[in-house]
Amino acid sequence: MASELASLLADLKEKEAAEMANNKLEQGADPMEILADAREGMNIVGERFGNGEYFIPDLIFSGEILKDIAKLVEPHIKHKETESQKRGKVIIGTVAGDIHDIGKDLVVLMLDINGFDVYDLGIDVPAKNFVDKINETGATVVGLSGFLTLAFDAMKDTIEAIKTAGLRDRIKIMIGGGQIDDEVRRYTGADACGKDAMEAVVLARRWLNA
Amino acid sequence: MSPKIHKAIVCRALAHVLEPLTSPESEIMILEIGLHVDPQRLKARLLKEVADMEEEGAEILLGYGLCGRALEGVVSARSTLVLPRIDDCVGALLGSRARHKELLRQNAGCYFLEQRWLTTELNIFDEILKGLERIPPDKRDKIVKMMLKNYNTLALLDSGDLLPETESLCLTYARRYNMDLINLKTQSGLLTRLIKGPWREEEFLVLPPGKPVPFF
Repeated sequence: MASELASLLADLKEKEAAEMANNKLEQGADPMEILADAREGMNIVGERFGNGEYFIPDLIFSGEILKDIAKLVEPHIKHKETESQKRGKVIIGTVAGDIHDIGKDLVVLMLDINGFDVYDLGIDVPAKNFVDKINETGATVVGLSGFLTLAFDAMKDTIEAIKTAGLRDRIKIMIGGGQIDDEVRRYTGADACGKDAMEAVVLARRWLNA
Repeated sequence: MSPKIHKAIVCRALAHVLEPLTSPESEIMILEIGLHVDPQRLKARLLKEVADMEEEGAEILLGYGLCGRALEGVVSARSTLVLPRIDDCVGALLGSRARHKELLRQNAGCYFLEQRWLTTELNIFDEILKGLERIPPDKRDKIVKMMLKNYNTLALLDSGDLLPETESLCLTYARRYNMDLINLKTQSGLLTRLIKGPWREEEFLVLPPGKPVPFF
């Protein structure tokens, strides 16, 4: 059975969900557990969209509620310190030919509140821009986002460009969005794929030993 | 080359092109566009329709693309399946995956619409208003803008039969959401070849009985 916070988020009860998250934090709850509950709520929203109960605005609004909860949680996550104490650098962007960024923006937010130094390159990002940013920042983790199946080739091309630039050996690459799974990961040559923003955080932590 | 027995399962989004191409004795099943919202549901439905339609020695033509990967795993035990190598109905009407990709390379902010899709789930301008009553009134405007913020162009797929009211409605959408309106001529060659052949390797997957649609 879903937790109360997950249910409130799934039912799009914006104020009630934020209040509950706040109360839990005041009572000393683990902020990561609150994010896990929120993630569970987002999964329920996804299921409701799939079965026709929810529509696109519901998906977007649930993301907004998640952002509100994440912002409440942020000050309680111990690793969010100064720039020099950041957990590591992550470059992220929606690949060339695709403009979907709702999921990507949630990943950026979650990485940020978990203490990573995030370079968000935006949407429709050419492969070259990822390569340039790696060279400029020295980041060792890259996240490629895309919703369209047409984006799979752009992901593959981007990873190929990173390889051609001689950077692939020191870069870990995650992909996510839409119908991405391990089959797509193999096709693109990425190191891992994630189905939501929290999985991106888990991967970044693992790769950066953070 | 034409199929020995005409059998086809097609999405409503493409039926206006495909149906007139089939011979009168064809068995053609048209499925609703809304199924694409949930790829698993679309796959389950396609598997059922294929199982109902399949017959030894027949070819079942699929009027679909990868469609959010819903087609992967669709298989027939007794018939050959034929599927164009495209991502979705937009690529189908544009005539190739390459043209679809090139248009998005030139401008990723294109939203493609065909006039027959205006009353379906493919009309994003209607879809963004569905369920809006669940959103607090003071947030609705922001949510609608968020959904469309990265689209700068409404690309109207033009098969040469555009109605004036279609163009007028699309112009209204474009103005309302600060988008350019462009017309893109469709190309029916790929869909014609799906029905009449030839099924060249680079354009079509031709899957013998027992071989499921792979990731492509």
